[in-house]
Amino acid sequence: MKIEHSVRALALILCATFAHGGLSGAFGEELPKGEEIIERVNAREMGKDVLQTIQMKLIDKDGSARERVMRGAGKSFDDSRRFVLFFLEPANVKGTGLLTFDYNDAAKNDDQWLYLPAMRKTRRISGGERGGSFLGTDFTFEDIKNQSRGSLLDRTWKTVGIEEADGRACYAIEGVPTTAAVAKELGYAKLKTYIDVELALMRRTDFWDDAGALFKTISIRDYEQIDGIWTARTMEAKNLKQEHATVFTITDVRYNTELSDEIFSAQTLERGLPSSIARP
Amino acid sequence: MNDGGRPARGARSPLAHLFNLVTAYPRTTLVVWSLVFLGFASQIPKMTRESGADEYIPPDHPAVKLWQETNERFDLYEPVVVLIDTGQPMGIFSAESLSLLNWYTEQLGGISGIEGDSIQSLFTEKRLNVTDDGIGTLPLVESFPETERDFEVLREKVMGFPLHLGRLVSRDGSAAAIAARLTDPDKGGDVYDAILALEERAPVGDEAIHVAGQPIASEYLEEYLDEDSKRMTIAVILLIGPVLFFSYRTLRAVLLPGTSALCGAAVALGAMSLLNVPFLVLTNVLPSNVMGLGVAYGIHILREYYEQTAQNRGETLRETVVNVMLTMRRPIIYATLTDIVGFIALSVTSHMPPMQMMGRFAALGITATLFSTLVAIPAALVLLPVRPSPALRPDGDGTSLSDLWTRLLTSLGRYVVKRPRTIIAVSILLLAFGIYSASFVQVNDSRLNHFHPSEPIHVAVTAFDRVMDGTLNFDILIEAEEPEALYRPENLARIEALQRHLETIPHVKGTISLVDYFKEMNRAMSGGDPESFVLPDSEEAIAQYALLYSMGELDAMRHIVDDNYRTTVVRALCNSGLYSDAIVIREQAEQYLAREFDGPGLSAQLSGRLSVDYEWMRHLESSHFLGAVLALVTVWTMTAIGFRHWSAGIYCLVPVLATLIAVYAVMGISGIWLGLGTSAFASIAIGITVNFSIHELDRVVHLVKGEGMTLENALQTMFSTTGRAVFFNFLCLFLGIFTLTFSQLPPLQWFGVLLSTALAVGFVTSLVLLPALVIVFRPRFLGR
Repeated sequence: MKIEHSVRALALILCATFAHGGLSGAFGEELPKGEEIIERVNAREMGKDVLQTIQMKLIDKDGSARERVMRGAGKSFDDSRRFVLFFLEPANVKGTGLLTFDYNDAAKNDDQWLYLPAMRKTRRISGGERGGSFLGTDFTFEDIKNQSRGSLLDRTWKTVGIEEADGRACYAIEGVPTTAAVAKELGYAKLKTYIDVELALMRRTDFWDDAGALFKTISIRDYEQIDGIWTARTMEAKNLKQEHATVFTITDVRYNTELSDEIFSAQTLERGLPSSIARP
Repeated sequence: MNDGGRPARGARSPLAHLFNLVTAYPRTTLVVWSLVFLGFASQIPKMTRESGADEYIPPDHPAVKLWQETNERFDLYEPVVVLIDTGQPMGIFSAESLSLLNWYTEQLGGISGIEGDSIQSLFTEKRLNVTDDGIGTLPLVESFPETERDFEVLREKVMGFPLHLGRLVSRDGSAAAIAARLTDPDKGGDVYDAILALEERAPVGDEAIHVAGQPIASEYLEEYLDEDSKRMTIAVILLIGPVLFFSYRTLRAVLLPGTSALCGAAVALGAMSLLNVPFLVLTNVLPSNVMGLGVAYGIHILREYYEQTAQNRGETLRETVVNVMLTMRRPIIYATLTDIVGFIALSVTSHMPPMQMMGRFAALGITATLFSTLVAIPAALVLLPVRPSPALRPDGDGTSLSDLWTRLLTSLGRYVVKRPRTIIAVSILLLAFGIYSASFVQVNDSRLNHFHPSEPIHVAVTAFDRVMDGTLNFDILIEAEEPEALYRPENLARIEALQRHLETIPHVKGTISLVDYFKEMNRAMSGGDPESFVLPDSEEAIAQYALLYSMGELDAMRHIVDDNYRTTVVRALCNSGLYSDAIVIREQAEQYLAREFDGPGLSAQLSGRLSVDYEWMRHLESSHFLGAVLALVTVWTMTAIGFRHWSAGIYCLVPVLATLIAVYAVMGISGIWLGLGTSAFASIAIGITVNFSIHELDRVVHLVKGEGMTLENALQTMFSTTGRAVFFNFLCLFLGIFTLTFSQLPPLQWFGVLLSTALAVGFVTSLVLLPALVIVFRPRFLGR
């Protein structure tokens, strides 16, 4: 299942809030290479730990919307980054918890656990595909992972110019999966991402399918510095084919609060949201 | 000619001016006419061709819109399906058959035009796997079985997984299906060819391979369209051409009526092209009808032409031609108008766009033929040198022209005049038998009936309907009043009860809903215990299962429930597309919905292909009889006005009514349904067959009133003159319509059979029964 990726992706939402640094003045007259820009974006400070509330809004093409609210925490360990997430709303999924260990060793699979309060059991969950839908939203797991970063593993990057996105001057970089198999797994044939020239923040990404049609856009907005770290407050994915959208609104963000290691355990999932990470 | 030299009626009418004008400027007339003809004809190649498989009902019909909305909302589609049928219970679980299934699953993914990710088979599907350690999905077939035990385990696993039974594997394990979505539904033909080509190198043993699905059916119809057009065009030319020639054994007898009829067909088709009306399978009957009818007008004019020119009364050719046209104008115009009435009645009363279009444009084509006949034929006749018809030679006294046909018809006339009461008595007996037989006519149809039983698509659908849950789907769209209401166990229980009810309706073989997914999740979360295949009893558990589904790869849920868990669809499959079965399914389903989903909380509507098909089929009977009544009333009114007596309309309708009864009797005896194609015959037959009576009575009226003949003599003369023309008129029409039986499409074949039968019966009754009635009852409108 993609539950592993769900957790991983949620964790990466948390990671995204660790952003800092910029590209301003980093490059000369010539446009920097795509890979260099991506490396800079990925090199941002993430903080030792983070707390945040994520409001997820699913908007149907008729305008009807459904919301879920989650509270999450993330922390760096020696061998991994660990993330825990609790559903707060709606009431019927309240208490559902997810825990993931994202190991630094890329060869090692993530460990993930899910707690469903109705079943009163915690179970380990297995992984799925990167291009699949994330929690039934318009984001894929890969989108969530890359919402403010880029993968250098299986894509080639090329800077195509400087363009405006969200009212800011951005490097426009095209990313193409290295193989057809990767493209199929990721669910797109090409993307174009816009990196803020001054702040090295991702502002928007457009996706094209095999037929060359633009089918999805992801906008990352409302960046602000929290505890000195650039943090995206809004992420919106629009599926142009299905006329469906998903908006993540991130609030109550705090960094480096010296979270206890014990929070990131299966036992914590079953006990419910610890007061130490509850919404203020 | 025994009525030669009679003054033409209406010599001062506007039409007389028209005839004078076109005969005064014949070349200009023909040039203008040719330009109009060629102008319309030049548009024909631009005409779009469509199968029309989904156009039996207007696109704005609520049932169509609901179906489209449902499909869009849940991303539903009609797949191409491949069936591997072993014919043996559990036969699909042999090494050979599973290899074949796996092979086809892999090969389909490589076919251009198929969405690779959409392929569904036992080898692509996944199942929830929940253990004490964790939750995940596993392929339904994790690895190809090798040992006997492996096969046994796989068989138990697959047959114990209810979501795919009847859909991907037959409930007796004898067959398995592979479903795939097309990237472009209009490219079904290429995909079909590619799938068929696979069979040549497939590792097939004793299994039967079938390929079906709506995209394939549409492709069949499009191929029929092209093939039928070619066949019928050639058939019309080959059949009508010689008849036209033998009618008078002159080239002009072929060219003049033939080009007039061609002009009518060209105008009809060209106008369709100009107005962007696609040429559909059902509109294939249009050229045959217009051609068959169109040549008839010219035949009658040429008969009068040959008779009058043989008289050599000292008139100029132009005067003779004008006189011919004035003599024939009334029967020709009235006959044309009744033809038009038949098609307009079809157009007005039919609920099916292809029928409406066929009716409208056939009426336009016939109007164009009439115009062509009234303008181009006289213009051409004054340019052509006068030559007698070799087929017509002066008889013994030199006052009339005769040939074999004339003599035969004269003999028939003598018999009719001599034995009218015998004819009426026999006719009454036959009609009584006809009415009795007609009582067995059934209103029924199905999409499968559009294909000949020997066609692979027919065989494939029959096989699917036999071994799987069926090929025809219908959906129940259920909507709650508020989001997430479908998490509530009581609402899901109502949906489950609906499913169980639907499955009790004859031919409904299986249903699937979000309830089944939650039950499957519950079973998986309970360690796979079959007894846990039940709905969870709390809203929280269901909501959390839904959350789990949204996180996983079992995204089939998106095809049955919306994100908000407010709207869902219950999908049902049935193994019959018959209208008679659709009525039962629809009525029983609606009764249940009205009873159980009428209150607050959940509302439900019927949707899906069965529901849409039901909508067009349920109007067949009413529109058929309404069209017939409208045509009868209009034809009666027109003939009553034309002959200036109400009883004339009745006399004209007698052969028509006899024709209808005879055709219904044929349908009742032979089991031909009143269906999609056949429903069109009645109003068209009424409009066409009344022509014979009009021509005959018009001549008799003229001979009695104008020539002062006795009724008996007038009838005898009518047989040898108009009767002969009516015979060739009938022959051309009959053969023109008969070409429809060369269609590959059974509804068109039946339509051709029924309309040909109608023409034959109408011809005989108008030539035998009508004169007999006239002799016995001596109606006042004849002047005696």
